Amino acid sequence: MAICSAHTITSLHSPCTTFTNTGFGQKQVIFFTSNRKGGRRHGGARSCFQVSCSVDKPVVIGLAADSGCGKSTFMRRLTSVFGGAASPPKGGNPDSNTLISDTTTVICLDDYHSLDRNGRKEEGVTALDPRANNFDLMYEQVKAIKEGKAIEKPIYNHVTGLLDPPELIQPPKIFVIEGLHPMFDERVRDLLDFSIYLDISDDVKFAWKIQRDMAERGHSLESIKASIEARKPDFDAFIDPQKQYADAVIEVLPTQLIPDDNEGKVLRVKLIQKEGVKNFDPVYLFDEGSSISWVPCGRKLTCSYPGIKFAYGPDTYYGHEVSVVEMDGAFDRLDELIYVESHLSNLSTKFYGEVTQQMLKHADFPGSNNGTGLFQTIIGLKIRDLYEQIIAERAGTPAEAAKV
Amino acid sequence: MASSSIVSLVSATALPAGAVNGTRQPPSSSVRLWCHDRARRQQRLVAAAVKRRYKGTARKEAALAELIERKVAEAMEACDGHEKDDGCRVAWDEVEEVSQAKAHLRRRLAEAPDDPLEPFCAHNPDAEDCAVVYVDD
Repeated sequence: MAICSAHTITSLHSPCTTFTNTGFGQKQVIFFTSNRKGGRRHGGARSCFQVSCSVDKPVVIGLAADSGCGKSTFMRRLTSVFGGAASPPKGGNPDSNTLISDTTTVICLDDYHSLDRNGRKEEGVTALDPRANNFDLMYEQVKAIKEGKAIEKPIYNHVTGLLDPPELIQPPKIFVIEGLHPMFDERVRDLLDFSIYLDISDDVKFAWKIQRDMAERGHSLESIKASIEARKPDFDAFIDPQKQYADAVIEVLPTQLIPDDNEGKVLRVKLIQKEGVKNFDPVYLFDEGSSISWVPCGRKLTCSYPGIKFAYGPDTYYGHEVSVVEMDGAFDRLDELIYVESHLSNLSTKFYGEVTQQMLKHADFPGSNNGTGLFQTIIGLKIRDLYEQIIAERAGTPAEAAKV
Repeated sequence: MASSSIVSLVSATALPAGAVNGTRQPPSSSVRLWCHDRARRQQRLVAAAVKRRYKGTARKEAALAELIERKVAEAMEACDGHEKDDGCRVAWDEVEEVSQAKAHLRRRLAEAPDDPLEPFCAHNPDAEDCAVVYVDD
């Protein structure tokens, strides 16, 4: 897959000269046309069509989350924003963790485990420990993909706990690396064009894991609790510190609107956006840079209990300047969603109501009625905007180089 | 975990004109369908209880369920009195890994109509895992 752009170069006097390697790794083809019947532009001038093709150099996005890898809700929302359904690679290992759509490829960083399940048991390390992961290989392969080369990526089989033979991954337009350690290694961090961290608070994590696991025969409330507590030291030591490097953090906390709510159904979600990130303009409410507290429910909009509450303001986060948009509560009706969307700014939507449309498209996904779904969708649109800006930048540069 | 309120948001509310792309549905019939036809939906669910699966998927489901039980038992044993040990942490991490894999599979089966092995079996119809079985849901 290559992106080819054609430019016309008209020169009055000199014939078209051939252009050699511009240093961008591009192959260029020059077509010479001569004017027949003296028709064309400058009567007697020669037109040269220069076609330059560059191999897909993907935009690389990193997503860190404790939930591990695979078909997580965020990934599905993201691939949906770009269009096309994501599915595992055709005909390959059925236990592959990779997802491929027309524009996006999502890989799971568990595939870079250096130790399989038995190996980790012997060494006494959890999957969260950096010692169980091969960061050198991760860096090499992400670098290769970013340069537009295909990679043979290993597969970690979550069912058997073994490392399976590698699969071939072609460079896509957007390459997402999802897992526990996308921002752990400094070299990999530098390769990321945008990074996101999903920060789930302990109470919410507990509520979600109960919902997830209580249906299983082997699990009980005690086992779920013990599992979370046993993993906590490693998580706090190795995974949590990555949030200081993220360009956007989605923090999920228990609601403040319902006293003593422990069901985790109504959530307070913060979107923490780093300032000064290239190609990323943070979302804001009403007035950029000021502090706003907003309750949309009132005369124009009636909401049911517990309602919706928004906040926006500048802040510092681990020493960086950030803008925080916060939503507490749940959407109950379509008009609430549209009303909120119409008051947020810098959403990078292509038409009015795009956020609402995306949320409705996946109304059955978890978090569709609260800030998690809303902010994940917004980040998806921001990433699309970032991608388009990067592509436009790259397309702009060959034209610059061609002007001799 | 899918919230019922957002689904009712889709069917029960009249779409404001021009705001969202989509067909206009008469709100009354949608509300009726959602609120009053639960019995009919239950019947439909019962009728669809026997599902067509590939052998590989059925095998994976059973393997993961059994693995969870075994791993939880191992972890309880490893941690009995040794909460701070490496062995305890690694055992619970294994439980988390397998639980996550099972949850993914369960969600995948609930959401999409086709089998998770579809991309594989389309290319390898003769593989042992691609034999068709019928399972109760």
